[in-house]
Amino acid sequence: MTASVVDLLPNLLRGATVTVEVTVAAGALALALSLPVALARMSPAWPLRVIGTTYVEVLRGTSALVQLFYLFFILPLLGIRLDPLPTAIAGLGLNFSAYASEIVRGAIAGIDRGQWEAAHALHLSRAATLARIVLPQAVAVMLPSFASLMIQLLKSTALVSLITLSDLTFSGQALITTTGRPFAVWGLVLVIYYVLSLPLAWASNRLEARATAYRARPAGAI
Amino acid sequence: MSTEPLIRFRGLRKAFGANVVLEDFNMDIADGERIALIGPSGSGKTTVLRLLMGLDTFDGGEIEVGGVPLSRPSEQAKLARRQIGMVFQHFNLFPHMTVMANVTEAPRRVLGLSNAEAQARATGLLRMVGLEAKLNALPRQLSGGQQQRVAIARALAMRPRIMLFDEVTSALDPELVGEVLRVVRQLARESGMTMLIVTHEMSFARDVSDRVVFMERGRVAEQGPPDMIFRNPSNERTRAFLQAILER
Amino acid sequence: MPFDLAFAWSILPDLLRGAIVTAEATFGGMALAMLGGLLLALGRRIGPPPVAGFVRGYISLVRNTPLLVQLYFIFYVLPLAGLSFNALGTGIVTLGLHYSAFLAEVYRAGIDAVPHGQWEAAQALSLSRRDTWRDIILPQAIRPMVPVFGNFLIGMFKDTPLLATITIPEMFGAAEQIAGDTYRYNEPYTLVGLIFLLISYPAALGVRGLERRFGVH
Repeated sequence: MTASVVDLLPNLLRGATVTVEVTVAAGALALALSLPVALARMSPAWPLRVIGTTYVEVLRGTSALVQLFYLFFILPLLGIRLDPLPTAIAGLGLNFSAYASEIVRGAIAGIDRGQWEAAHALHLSRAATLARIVLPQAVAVMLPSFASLMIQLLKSTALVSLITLSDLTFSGQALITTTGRPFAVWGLVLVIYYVLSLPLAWASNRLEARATAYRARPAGAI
Repeated sequence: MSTEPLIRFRGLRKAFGANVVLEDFNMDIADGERIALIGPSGSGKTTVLRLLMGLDTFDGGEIEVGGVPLSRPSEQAKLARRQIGMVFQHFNLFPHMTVMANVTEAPRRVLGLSNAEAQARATGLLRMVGLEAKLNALPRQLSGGQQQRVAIARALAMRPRIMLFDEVTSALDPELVGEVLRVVRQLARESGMTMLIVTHEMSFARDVSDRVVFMERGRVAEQGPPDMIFRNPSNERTRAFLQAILER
Repeated sequence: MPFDLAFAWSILPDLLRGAIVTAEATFGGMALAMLGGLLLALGRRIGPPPVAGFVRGYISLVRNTPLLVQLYFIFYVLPLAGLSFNALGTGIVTLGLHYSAFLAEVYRAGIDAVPHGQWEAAQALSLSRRDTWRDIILPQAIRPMVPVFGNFLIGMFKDTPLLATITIPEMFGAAEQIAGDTYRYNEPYTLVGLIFLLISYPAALGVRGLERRFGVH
């Protein structure tokens, strides 16, 4: 058993590097899109709000796997040919940007109104208030949620095996066919996913503790 | 004092839904005048400050500052408002910034001061409020009274001509009230700024102001010099209010 | 890109037949997860230390690994252990086990939110532990959980397409089947996406209504 587990590992670890690549790239895409989408949803201009809300609700309301298949099979019909890797990154990145933007929106909305008012009373512009006063505080609140979202993303990358990308799950399937040892292979795949999630879980806990300390009530205030 | 009022409220009206907070509110304030706004909660005192600062919009009437109407957004209105500073009941310090950064942020961003200029100005103001030792502290490391004094220094750093104080001691533990009131008293004596002070501290209202304005149901019910209002109010409601407060 | 309405119309019955399987899997999985989550939460809270430790490890492992791989694991490994369900049964069991780990945390938070004074009051009335749990604590704990359960139900619904990978003919599987047979991808996948949206968006609005009603932020 030990010997054969060692035999399985190199293949699975090659797949795991693809899993990590997709997680990092789709995560970066989701984070990059999250702020503009959140700001659009909170905009005073209604057309922007409608666009932002539609974007979020459509991406959250349809299944991630359906979206991946849509990109994989239907983009080519539109004449856009992407390899499985960019398709996977775009599909998961867009899907998770909807959830990430809700985290951003919630964090911004959670900032005390008094902060906006104090900035207004100091005659700071709205943009400066957002950039200097509100976002720095909101980020502290967002970070733990982002870390948990990245765990969700890591798990969702298993879906990319279904659009032929040779990630960890795909490598597992390939090994089942060649070795016929489902218990060892799938057990090992689960363990590798779990190990990959540990740094994110650790970060989430640390950031949560920090954010909680940050929110502690100031002394002397009632 | 010049004869032309610096601030003028004309038939001001503000409602939140069905709740009318100000109705035909009129008041003139001369340059350098110090006004204490008193009255029962819900009488509209805080709303007057918030409308003047532009934190809420009003539904009718007009506010003029230096002759500039504030009802429509304009570059002039923006510049007129820039002469106003405000201190809040809950301090509203920026929790992620040090004391120094709280005080220098707006002078640097809005007035375009250099870092060194802004820091020199902030250091002087923080010395005045007795917090020169706390320049690098974060707000949460300070007591409520210290935070409120930082908030005063922060507002003063913009060199406002008009200062609004909105119940600045209401959120403080009783033993911390004195240190904040001392700072406001000193400003009233020495600065020459026009001040609008909403407060429930009657002895403070009495000795800090030139004029006491008693508000009720969104209107000025009675106004006059502090001695007159506190010793011999002509309005029955003012009398009842003061009596209730003194019997606390 | 052509979208053939007549073709879309012709495949709709197949997709809706698949949607019935989707509904079976969702509600079956949720029922299992609600029961399993409660058992896990109680095992962690009042079980002896080895049980509590095992439950903690189980929850952590299940929460942090992909549903798809869990599905494969159970689909391929259970038969080796002599347990065999049909594909739909396997799917429901997997959804139930996966989501029970999440719901265990929901139960835990709900139970923790019941004020300590309720336990003390129950003790002062000499209620047994069992009666305290059943009559005092759980009824209060479950009320604010209702909208959270709603959110997980929607989440599970959107995870059901994975079941197609183990040959369960739910809605997405039906779409794949049609696409494979006809080489037409646009109509089946667009319809499936629309059906998901038409069900999950109103459901999400409903959950938000519940949140307001039950006074959760």
